[in-house]
Amino acid sequence: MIRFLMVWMMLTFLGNCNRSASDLTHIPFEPTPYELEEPEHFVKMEIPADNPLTVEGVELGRQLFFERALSLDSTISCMSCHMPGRSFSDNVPLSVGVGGKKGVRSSMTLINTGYYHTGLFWDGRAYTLEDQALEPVVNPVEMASEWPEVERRLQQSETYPAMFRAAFGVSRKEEIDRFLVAKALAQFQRTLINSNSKFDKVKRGDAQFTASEQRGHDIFFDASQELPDAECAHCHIDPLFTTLEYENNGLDQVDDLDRFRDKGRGAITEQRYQNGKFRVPTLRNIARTAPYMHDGRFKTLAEVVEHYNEGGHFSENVSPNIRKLHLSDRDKADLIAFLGTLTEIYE
Amino acid sequence: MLNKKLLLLLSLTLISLTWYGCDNEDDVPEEPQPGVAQLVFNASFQDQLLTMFEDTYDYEDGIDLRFQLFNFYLSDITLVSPEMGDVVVKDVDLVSFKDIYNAEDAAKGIRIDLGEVPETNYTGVKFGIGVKESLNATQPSDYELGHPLSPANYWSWASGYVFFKIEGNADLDGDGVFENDDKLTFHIGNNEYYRQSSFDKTFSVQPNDTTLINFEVDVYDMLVDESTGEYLNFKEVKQDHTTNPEVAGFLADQLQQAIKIQ
Repeated sequence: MIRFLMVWMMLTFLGNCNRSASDLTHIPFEPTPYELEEPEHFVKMEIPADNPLTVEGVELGRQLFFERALSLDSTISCMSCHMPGRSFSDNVPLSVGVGGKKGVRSSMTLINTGYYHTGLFWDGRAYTLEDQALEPVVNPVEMASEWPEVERRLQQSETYPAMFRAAFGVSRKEEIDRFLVAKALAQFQRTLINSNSKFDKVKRGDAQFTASEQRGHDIFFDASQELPDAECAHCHIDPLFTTLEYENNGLDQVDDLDRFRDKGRGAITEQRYQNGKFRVPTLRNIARTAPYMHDGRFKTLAEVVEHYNEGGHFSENVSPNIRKLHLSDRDKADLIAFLGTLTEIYE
Repeated sequence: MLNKKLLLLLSLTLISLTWYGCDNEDDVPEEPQPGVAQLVFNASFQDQLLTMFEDTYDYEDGIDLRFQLFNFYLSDITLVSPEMGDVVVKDVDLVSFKDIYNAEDAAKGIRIDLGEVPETNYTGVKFGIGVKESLNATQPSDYELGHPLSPANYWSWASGYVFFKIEGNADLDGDGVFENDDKLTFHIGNNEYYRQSSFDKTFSVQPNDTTLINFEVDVYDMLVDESTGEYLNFKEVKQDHTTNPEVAGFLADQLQQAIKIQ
């Protein structure tokens, strides 16, 4: 009996030692559902059943979004290329990663990405926000890190284990892994809803366009037979101001579809007729997300409008909606004025 | 000894019960699966299969055409039954040939799943071409993501859906070179261009079976009225967003004629 008691005491002691190192069960796990305020005129967001939004999960995602320890040398975070004050983009043509390495594409705004159901990134290679969040950490021209190292840093952090416990109910620090990081980041990104621009206020009857903005609106949407049609709304349809489709908008002239320098969507689908196509970006907050296009080649909205006004460059799969527009200087100015009404800053 | 006998008897009883139980389970007749039906649409251009980008098609006046998009909505898909009358099996769907890049996929066609339908004999199919008025008054936010009535085919400023789209390129001078100024886009909507079609066809839907109802849509017939010789002259009109009633009406009428049951 005495021998049994001694063994039991030793086991209990060892167990306690182990728990003190990694056990998190003393921290309450009582997640609070996050009430997402969705605009009535948006199609309802699809949230994965295995990653419901919680106050704790969103907060953890927010912290991780600004966390530099996700990168190899702890110099950059998600925020480095997706700055809130710049509508979650970075205002440079090609984003800069660890060690000053330049990426190959421009940073996309993250607003309303919770509604994107046809793929993320410019080429749609990730199908969910959870999948997308796994990639930048290990991309050599972005954070250039390795997941085991990132997981180790988060497990050894003073603050994160409790947050992961509160958000996801992990019992031990060792349960903190890349998939929970991705889930938290996805939860945070789903809250980045943008729907309070002047355009939205006008739609709600809470504001009025100026004469120039109204004229630009009608040119944008082909809403008046007296005005030219800028053909914008074929791809940039409200309320998201994107169809979420992939298009070739005539940026480059190629005689052979296999000769696009960046094949975009085609590199993912391996369908040559999709070479040179990229996801149609949202125009929400467009005044804050310069430079424009997947490679940031246009510095200003005036350059963008001029590109479309000239009808773009021909290739076999350029969208037929890209054609010479014959816009006057006034038309172009009014169009840009309307685009300004799509801009709201994330606070 | 008695115990041994008892044990043997018990074992035999258990084995026989288990055997009987298994056998009995195997004998349970399988539940018949409900009959399902699909509409299959194959698109062509005269005697050629219709592909996006891949093939070139001879048109009127020596013009060559290539296509990039062809789609149309169907509303109130209805199966006509002598016993049950008209059975509406689907309120709306989109037939889209956008991703048909080669002959193999073109031959497979686009399938519109009607799901489970009443198992009986039918004598015909009816549907509207376009979005019926009651649905055309709705908007994409009324639906879930991925619903056919998506923002991609919605004109918010006109409060309605684009009933059908055809996009592509025309080699207007027939020199074999498609150029930047030869783009074609026709997007037709508005309730006045909604058309209704009915087709005679005898078929039945049976349990455990998928019934395919085949249609062909010839895009040449959509662009050319062979009965009158009238056709869409791309040298004069390369685009219409339902701004020219003559063009919109012609295309809506011709699309209705171009869809045939097989």
